Order: sequence, then C-alpha cells, then structure tokens
Amino acid sequence: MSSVFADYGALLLRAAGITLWISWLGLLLGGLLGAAVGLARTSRWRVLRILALLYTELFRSIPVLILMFFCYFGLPLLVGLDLSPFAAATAALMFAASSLMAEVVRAGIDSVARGQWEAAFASGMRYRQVMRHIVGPQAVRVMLPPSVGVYIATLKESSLASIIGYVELTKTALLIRETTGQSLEVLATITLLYFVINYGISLVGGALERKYAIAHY
Amino acid sequence: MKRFSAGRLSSVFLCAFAALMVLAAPAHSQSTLGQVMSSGKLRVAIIGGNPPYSSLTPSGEPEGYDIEIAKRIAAALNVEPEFITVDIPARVTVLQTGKADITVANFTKTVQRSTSIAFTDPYVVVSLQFLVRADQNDLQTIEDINDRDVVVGITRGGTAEQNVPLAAPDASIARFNNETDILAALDTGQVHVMSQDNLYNAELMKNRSGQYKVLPGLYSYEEIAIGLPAGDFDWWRVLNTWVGQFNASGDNARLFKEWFGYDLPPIQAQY
Amino acid sequence: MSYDLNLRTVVPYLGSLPEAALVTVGLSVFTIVLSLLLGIGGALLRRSRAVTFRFVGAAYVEFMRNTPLLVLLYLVYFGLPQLGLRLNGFQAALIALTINSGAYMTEILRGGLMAIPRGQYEAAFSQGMTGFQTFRYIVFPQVFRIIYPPLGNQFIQVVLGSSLASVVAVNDVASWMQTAGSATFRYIETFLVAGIVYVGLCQAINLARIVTGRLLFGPAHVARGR
Repeated sequence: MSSVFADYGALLLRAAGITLWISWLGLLLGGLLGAAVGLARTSRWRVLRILALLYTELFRSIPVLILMFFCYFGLPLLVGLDLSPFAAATAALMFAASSLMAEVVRAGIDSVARGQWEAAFASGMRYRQVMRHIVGPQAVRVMLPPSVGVYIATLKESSLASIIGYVELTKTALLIRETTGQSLEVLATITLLYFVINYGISLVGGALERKYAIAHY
Repeated sequence: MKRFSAGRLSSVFLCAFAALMVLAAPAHSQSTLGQVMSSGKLRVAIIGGNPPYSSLTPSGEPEGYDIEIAKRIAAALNVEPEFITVDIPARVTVLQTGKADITVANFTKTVQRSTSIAFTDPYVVVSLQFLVRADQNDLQTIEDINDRDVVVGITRGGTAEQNVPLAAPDASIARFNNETDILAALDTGQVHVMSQDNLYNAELMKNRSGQYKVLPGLYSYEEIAIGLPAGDFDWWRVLNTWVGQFNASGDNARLFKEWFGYDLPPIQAQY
Repeated sequence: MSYDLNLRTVVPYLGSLPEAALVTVGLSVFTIVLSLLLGIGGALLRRSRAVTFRFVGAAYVEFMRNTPLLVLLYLVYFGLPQLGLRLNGFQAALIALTINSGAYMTEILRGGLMAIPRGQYEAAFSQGMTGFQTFRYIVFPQVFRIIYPPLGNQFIQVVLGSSLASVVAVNDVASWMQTAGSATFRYIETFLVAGIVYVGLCQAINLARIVTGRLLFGPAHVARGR
C-alpha cells in the first residue's frame, strides 16, 4: 500500500481534490434547488406542497447510479446539449442532493416555533420580511449540521461518477490498477483516503452541531 | 435583497427551465451538406484512446486510422476538419443533437442503430473472437466454451449480446461496462473468456503478448461504417460515394496496412 | 427538443425485465436478512462492557458510514482474488452490501436498545423473570416498535444500493437499463421503465411498512420516520 502511495500519491491527492470539488458543486447547486423545493414544502398553497413532496419522494426512490446514466445519456437528448461526464455527474449529484436538502430546509423552517410566525404577522410583517429577518437566520443555523451530512453523502455518491467515465478518485484508482495490474493495494488506499476525508468532515459537522446548539422553546 | 417566497422562487425556476427548453431547441432548417459547404468546416466526432483507430498525441492532437479517413473526406469536400472527442454512447447522441456532421469511431452498422441515425457502406469488417488466458489449457475450441460453467465477459449492449449466444448458446454471460473491467476479471479468473472483435484482440496480443491467446474461429460479421444524422439523403449520398471509391481504389487497403500493420480483411461478405 | 418518445422501442427488451427485477429483489432481501444479523452482533459489540469490543463496533460503523459502497464492492470483487478468494458478481455484491448495511443496522438496533431504561431490566429481574423472558416480553416489543420505521427506510436504501451490483456483472434492473439503453440508444425510454420499477419497489416497501405498522401497532404509529 505504501508503494502505491509513494508512486501515485500526488495523483491520488489531486483526484481527491476533484472529488471534493465536484461534490461541493453538487451540494451547492443541490442546496439551491433543494431550498426551493423545501420552501415549497412549507408553502401556503397545497399544490406546491404536494408537488414538492412528489419531487422528494421521486428522487429518494431512484438509485443515484440510474440518475448518473440518465444525466449522461438521456438528458442530452432532451435538452439538445451534449453533456460531458463532468456536467452529467454534477447534474446527477445536484438532483440527489436537492431531495435531501429539501428535507433539511423543511426541517429547518419547521424548527422555528409557530409562535414566532404569529407574533411577526401580528406585528404587521409580510411573509418575505418574516423569512428574511426572523425565521431565516434561525432556520439556517439549524440546517448547517445536517447539511454536512448531505455533503458526506454526496462525497460517497461522487464515486459513481467513475462509471460514466469522469476521472475522480475512484476512476483514478481504476486507471492506476490498469497500469500496475494489482487491484488490492490501490483500492485499499483510496478506501483509506475516503475514510479520512469523510470522517474529518463529520468531525467538523459535530463541532458545528455543538457550536450552534440552541435551546428550543 | 433576497426573496425567499416559495411562490416566487418556484416561478423563477419554472421560467428559467422553460427558457432553457426554448433556447436549446436545435434549428434543423439546412441540410448537413449545405451547412458543411457554407461554413467550410466538417465537424467529426471521434473516440480518443482507441488506437490505432484514433488516439490523442500528448499535445492533444488526434491521430489514427479514423482520423485519416475524416481528413480525406474533408479534403475531398474542400473544407477543414474539426475534431470532437466523444465516447461510446455519445457517438450517436452527438449526431442526433446536430453537434457533429459525421462520426468516424469504430462504429458498427446495425439495424437497431439505423433507426436513430444513418450509416454509409462499411470501410472495415470485423468479427467476434474469443480470448482466454494463455495458461487456460482446458479451453481450446468453441465447444469447450459452450458450457454452462464457462463465463464469457462482454461489454454491454454491443453486438456481442446477440453474437455470443449464437456462437455458444450454453455459456454464461457476464456484462461489464468496459473492456478493462473484463480484462481485470479475466486476469483473476472470475471470467473465463473475453469476447471482443478481432481487431481489438490483435492490438491486445501485440501489447500483452504471451498473456492471452485467441481461440480459432470468427463468430460474427460486423460492418464498421461512418455515422451521420438520419433523414439527410444528400449528405448520405455524398459520403457513400466517397466510401465506395475509397474502398475500390485500394486507398483503404493502403491506409489500413499503414495503421494496423497487417492486411485489410475482406469487406464484401461472401454470399 | 426534437426527441420523439417511443416506448415501443423498449418492448423487445421487456422480456428480460422480470428476471432482472427478481435479482434486485432477491439481492435486497438476502442483504436485509444477513445485515440484520450482522447488526445484532454490532449492536451487542457496541453495548459490551469491554472497551476493545466497543471500539471495534464503533470503528466498524464509522468506517462503513464514511466510505463509498462502490469502492467496497470493487475491493470485494477485484481485490479479494489477490488474497485467494474469488467471488462471482452476485456473491461479491451480497457481501459488500451486507457489510455496508450491517453498520446502519447496528446503529438502528443500538438506538432501539438504548431507549429501554435500565430500570425496566431491574424491575423484570426483581419479579423473577429470566433473561429470555425479559427480552421476549419487555425489551423486544418496545425495541421493535422503535426500530420499525428506520428499518423500513434501510430496506429502501438497500434496494437503491443493490443497483451497484450491475457494475460487477449482475443482471439486475440497473444492468437491464444499461444493456437495453446501449443497444437501442433509447436512453429516455429505458430510464423511464427502470425508474418506474425502482420507484414502484421503494414506494411499495414504504406502503407495506405503513400498513403493517398500523396493523401491528395501531394507528398512532404511522410516523414517517424517514
């Protein structure tokens, strides 16, 4: 294992960076999309709530692998744009993350006590103002720790991008395997790399959770 | 000023999506031939990393047998070739979306594929062969493979799906996404036989001589042809004329020998 | 957007779909059963009095939570032969899925067990109940009630994870989609069909969980728990 790291260490670390980057993109875009869906889930209009529920249920019942294949082979046919493995993988990760983030956003908004909404409305504030000044900031604080969990989940799912040919950490390991002919060492090495990265991030998430611990009324 | 209203955000997303749909609709008003002649460019989709059909030099320039064919076509039409690197599935979609004018990429002409895109006449014919590890002495002929306990590795959705069961109906089939996975499984013995076309096998034997051996017999007839968008008769007429003369004049045989190192297999099937 | 959707192109391939679906379901069911057993072992490890056992249990869970299933699958299928153990696709997928799911089962069971206050054990013993009776009448019914929703969710996660088996030559639904798609180039249609199968399976599991939950525990227990 040490020999793999000695020879290919720099390559693997760079590939790990690519993995972190594409997962971050997926989380960011998925977060925006998920926020919209999450807001729709708590909306006043029943139609929006139902549509949002269908959206989250749909994307939590489809394997990410299938999503990746669809984004790479099927989406180009629908939108008339050729998608590179990078774009397709990011799109798939975005959709997957959005359904998780929708739930995080919904839970975050719901965590703010109803009484605060009522008090704000009674004071004459409009929905937009309440969100921006009262509920939003509190909700965001609640959303941060679970978002870290979504990031870790996305990092794991990014390994599937290797199957549609995107060169991230897993694909790099497979390419190294082609040259060395030995699977065990390189696969064990990236397993360790993934573990170190994800566990580290989860520790950060734990710290965030403690820092933002708020009393609930 | 951030607007968090659910209604607003959702309608913004809907509008953006609708706009994307409208803008992305390709305009198919001109025939491909007209487009190529007026723009002076021939957009060719190729597969990198598949020597000697096509590969990329370290500086990123494409080179190979398929590349030379595309360059000759462009020269015949008096236009400049522009190469787009794609991979296996995108060979088709890049024609369907109008992003390329032709695809020259080790492309087998099948009836199935012809429902989505068009093909010229073939310029190479390949056949399916079976490959085993050199140390496997119990698998020497097709009869040895035709056994339920023998696992044959193939790449998904290719012509092997039909041809392997035809050649060895009792063998078990394992589907993988690419050749390197099959090779890895063959090396470890999880797959006993690999099935690929004879040109791929020849390359493999050249690069990894002594590790594998090819079993005798050719088990399919597959025509490699140039792909082009469907429904464009003028474009097909021009390309097909070129292919016919390319074959008949001996230019193809010369080019093939130059890139592959051995003689071009016969293109016309013996009826 | 000039794409004509034509589901008829997929029809010739539908014949192999039921068998593929059976493989998916079979793989998932075996995984759930085996990983549940593994989870019991893991939960017992984590609740043990010996520090080493607790550490091993915790390390197992953290390791599986932080590494991708695909890499584990590659390790089992392509890596183990180097150590002398050659497995076919289905076996490798089953083992990788089981080991991975076992960690989540450990946490689910541990959560259920932790919810039983110590006092109940003491009360039971003081009444003269044996360990087994305590488990059967006091512990098990409560734990089962608690773990029921997350167990259903884990079943769904296993079904979704089983799609990875297609990468190591297992003919499941994901494999069907890739094969039919690359043969016909009708990726939208094949995706729709495969998607319907997976969504159908997952929602059926959800529905079954809610319905049997209601039957077993009464209406108060329809918590979503996802």
